[in-house]
Amino acid sequence: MSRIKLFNFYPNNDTTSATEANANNTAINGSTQKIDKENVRNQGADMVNLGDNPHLRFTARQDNFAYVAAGTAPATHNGWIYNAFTIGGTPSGQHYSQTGSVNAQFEYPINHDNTLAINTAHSKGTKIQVNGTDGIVLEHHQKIQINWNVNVWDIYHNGNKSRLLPQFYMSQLVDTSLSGIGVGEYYYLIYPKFDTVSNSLTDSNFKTADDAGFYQSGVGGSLAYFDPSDLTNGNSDVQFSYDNRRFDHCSVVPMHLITATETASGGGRFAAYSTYDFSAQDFATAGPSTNIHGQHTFSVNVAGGGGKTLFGIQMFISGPYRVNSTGQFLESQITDPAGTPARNGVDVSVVLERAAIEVEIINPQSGRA
Amino acid sequence: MIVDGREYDKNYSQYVSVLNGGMDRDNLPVNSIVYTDFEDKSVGRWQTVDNINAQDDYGTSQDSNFTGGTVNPRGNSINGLKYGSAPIEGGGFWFPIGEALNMPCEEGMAVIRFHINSFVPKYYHFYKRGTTDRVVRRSRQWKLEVDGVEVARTSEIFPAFNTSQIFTQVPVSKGKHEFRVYCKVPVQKEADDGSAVHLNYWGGQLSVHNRRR
Repeated sequence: MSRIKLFNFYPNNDTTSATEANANNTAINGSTQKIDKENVRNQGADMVNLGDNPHLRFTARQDNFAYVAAGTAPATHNGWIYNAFTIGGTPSGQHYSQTGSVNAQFEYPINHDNTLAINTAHSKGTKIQVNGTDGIVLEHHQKIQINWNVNVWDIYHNGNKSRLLPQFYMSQLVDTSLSGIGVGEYYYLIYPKFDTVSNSLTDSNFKTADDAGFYQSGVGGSLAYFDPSDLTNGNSDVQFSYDNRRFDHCSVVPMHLITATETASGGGRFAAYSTYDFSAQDFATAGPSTNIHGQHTFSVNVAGGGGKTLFGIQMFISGPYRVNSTGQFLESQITDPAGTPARNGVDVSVVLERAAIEVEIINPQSGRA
Repeated sequence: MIVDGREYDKNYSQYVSVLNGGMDRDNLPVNSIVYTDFEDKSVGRWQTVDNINAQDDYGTSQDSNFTGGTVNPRGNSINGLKYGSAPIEGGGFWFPIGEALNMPCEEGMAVIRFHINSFVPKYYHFYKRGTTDRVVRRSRQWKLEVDGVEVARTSEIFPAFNTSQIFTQVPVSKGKHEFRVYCKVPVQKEADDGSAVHLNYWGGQLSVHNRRR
């Protein structure tokens, strides 16, 4: 409607001119604009006038409600164990994706439920169903914000070498007589992925934002996201440079603290950052379970949202990644530096307890830069 | 029926004054305003600095102790920032990381989120192995400034790997404001000869949501 320009027909007489009245009616009838700020009084609109979701398009939280008693051993349950990719497929029910297997996926959805068992249904692990089976049609300039909290219960020596044999992990930099695999320069990554494929929410549907089609690298200098699905079997040592891929959607899980002492005889120090039996064992520990918190905010930067509908979001965890001179790579060897041939990889697994994810989708008008 | 011209004029004038900027909650239907009716950025605006990492900020160099062979049989290496080189130099002062975020704001709140992944190799921690040669405690610290004023600071962080987080809200006036993150590492000790990487950071993000009052 906008501002209506009226013929001034407010003379000081008692005569209403039909011409003037008709002109004003025509001005109103002729308005082709919608009601806008020219019509609405300053601070005239109130909350009751607002439709649903003027600011937030969608919010949700998913918690797997996986709680166990202090001291619960990793082997008590299978579904909460996320193995290094060099560890074999028994017992069943744990997360495995061996580097030697065909079509291995070098990552795991965090999908254990409140019984600590693998559960691929939504609303059980960290898989959020977005807006029922309809999903949400994405729009350009929407902001998506995700928060997560994952409790790392134990750094689990489920592989070749026990945690009671720290010499296999300590480099000669930290101990005079040993030649272990490194200085603790390895970690797991936790990150979200998105389903724009279908509302079936099968795990293979979940992809990075760029692969899901609503975020495009190269727009405004943006980079492609780090994505383990770019790895194929046999090239798991491919480097991911810190400055050529986005890692700001990842949080890190520390594994081992390894350090030297000033004693001439060596005696390097070794500890796990998360230990289920921290109060009952005499080996070094850097603490009990560890809460890993992460967050990420990004824009739908493709016109029309890429024509995509977002059906679900789920957290994923990588295998052990390792620092090198150009960035990081996925570990593909086991820990056996004293073997023949020596193998100097990392095959330490992680045990995850409670995991929760929150998501907000903010409408473009309030989310744009 | 005869129209009372004066009353007609008065009523019509009042009607038009409502249309021309006088409409309020009594005139607008319940649930009638949806998000597309808002003017762009009228409720809030949001900017980020993405993927903050040491390689982009300063370039990194290789650790000259952890270089493979008998020291590290895996043959890997660590790159990062060292003592004696920019930006750490002698340590003990704040240096900026990532780009400054210069953001036009409306009067209201700046909801600021920052997170970053970092690695501080711990193989020499307080002392070089087998000696009494002192090196620094291996740690780092982060802080956030708005227009040059500190608004949040983390504790000194000791784990080798860490995802550090800051969340804070700051009232801001209308106009452009600068948001920036800084890092500090301890003051150099006598045995910090620049051979060891002290810090690497990557995957950082500074996110500012200006919520209008």
